Amino acid sequence: MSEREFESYLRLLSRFLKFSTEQREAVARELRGHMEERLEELLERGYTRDEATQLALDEFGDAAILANQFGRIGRRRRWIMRTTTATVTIAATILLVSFLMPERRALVPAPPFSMAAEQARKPAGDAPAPAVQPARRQTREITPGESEADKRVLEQMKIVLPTVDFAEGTGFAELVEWLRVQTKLSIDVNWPALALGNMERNTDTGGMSLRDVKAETVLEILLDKVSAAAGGVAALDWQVTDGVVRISTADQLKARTVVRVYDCQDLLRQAASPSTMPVDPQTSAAARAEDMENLIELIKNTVEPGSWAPDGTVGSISEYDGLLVVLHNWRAQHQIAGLLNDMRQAKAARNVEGAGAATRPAADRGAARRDQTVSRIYDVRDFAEGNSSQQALARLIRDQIEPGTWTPDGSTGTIDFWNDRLVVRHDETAHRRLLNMLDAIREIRGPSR
Amino acid sequence: MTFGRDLVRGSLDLMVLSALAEGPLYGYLIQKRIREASGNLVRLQAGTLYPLLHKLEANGAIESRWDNTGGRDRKWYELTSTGRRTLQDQAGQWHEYVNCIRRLLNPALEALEVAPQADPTTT
Repeated sequence: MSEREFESYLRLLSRFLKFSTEQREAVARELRGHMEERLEELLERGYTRDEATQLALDEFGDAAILANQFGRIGRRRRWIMRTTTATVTIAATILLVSFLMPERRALVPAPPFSMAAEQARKPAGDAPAPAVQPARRQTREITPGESEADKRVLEQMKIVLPTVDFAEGTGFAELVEWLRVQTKLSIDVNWPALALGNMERNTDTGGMSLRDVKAETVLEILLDKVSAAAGGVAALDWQVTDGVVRISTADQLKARTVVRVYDCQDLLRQAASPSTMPVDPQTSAAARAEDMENLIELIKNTVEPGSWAPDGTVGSISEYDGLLVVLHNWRAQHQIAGLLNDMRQAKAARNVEGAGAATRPAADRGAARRDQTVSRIYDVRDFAEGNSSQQALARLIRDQIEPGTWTPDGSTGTIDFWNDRLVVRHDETAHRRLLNMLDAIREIRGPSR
Repeated sequence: MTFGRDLVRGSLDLMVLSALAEGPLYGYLIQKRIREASGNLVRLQAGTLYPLLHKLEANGAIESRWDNTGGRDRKWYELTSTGRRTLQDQAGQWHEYVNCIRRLLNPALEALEVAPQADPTTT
């Protein structure tokens, strides 16, 4: 009985481990030995077989998270293997694109801890100048969260356009101009970058005929068409910086990093409400520190996983006095801002409605489009509270919802628990299925609170 | 009282290496040794221990060997010469560090009228 449980855990772990078959089997063998010995010990101590099995498994934690822990080592080894088998195309593209960048900052790995941090402007507002980890690339500026100007632009991009009617033969620049007029926004296209991917002002968009679509959707469809029309050499993307919508190749946009500061004080466990006894400051400080740690871990796993230092080379994240200081590209920053916002809403909902209400999914953010995945938070404390039930739920989700798409380094989906809330990153379909499943579970269990 | 996570995190490597100082052990025993040597104050979870062992092996601080005697497959670890050197280095640093902190803390502890804990470094 317990062997079966151990085996299914180990099989799941094996699936997640990014190792050769031989290494995977070795890990399974080693862990199996440990589980068996632990089982014996617990049985001797008087636990039932079921209890002992569960405890033995609990000691290892969630299979995906465990595999992730192993994976951090594996990645270093694999990086060496990957570079030696790297395809010529990748090398060529890098060379090509870096030719484009006059400052050559984009894809040529800069030496770590360049003094570019000194060029960064002071953060706006009253936030104390954070002990920023020096930028690995050229820093632009330190912005508190997402600037108001950018937020306004992003909102404006969501306005609904009643008709989009353009015949085949309409050029790229013409449609961009039309969007400028419709949204009244500044839109800048990096034509030189596009030229490299065979895209230019006259590239035929193939026409468009749409009704009642958001401006950002029109833009995304437009960029897809243009990229396809040019042979699909380079994907196009857009982002908002300094209040301007910028269109360029996805690679170029991804390479630009920026430092942002997010105030996360309100997300950490606070002391009990003022009406109750003040909590021991040591405990609450420790609790907040742990929350911060978990939050950082969560962000690293759900937003551009694999890109964070020390394993990745693009982004880094540090904590300073309740502030999160993040260096990454715009897209990641946008996802983080969205994630933190969702958490705030979840927290607010909790305070108002109490436990038992799943956060209704927030509207899809443009930033998630590229990977088609989005992070959502679900309040499941009414039926999954505590480590083992959370892990059981995580196992259930992985087995039932789009099985085989959940990985520790999140190439498709990730599951995390944060402050007892379930945080899931996956595509819309998975979220819809998950929501249905959670609702079904609640129905079956009946009203518990 | 068990120790705060931050405190423990910083010295996990050291704990594992020192557990192996007197000879080879396999995972389960390493965990047991740490628990006992720390007076049950440090309870290293298996989910933390095994990835750590693999990391230490990847870094060359320890090496492993399989042993099937007694009908049970076990992966034994032992310190490499590099690992031994690292251990000596780090242990020395830690000792200095602890003394330094204690010197800093004593006046503060007196001011708070808190009796300092029994010296954890005496063996």
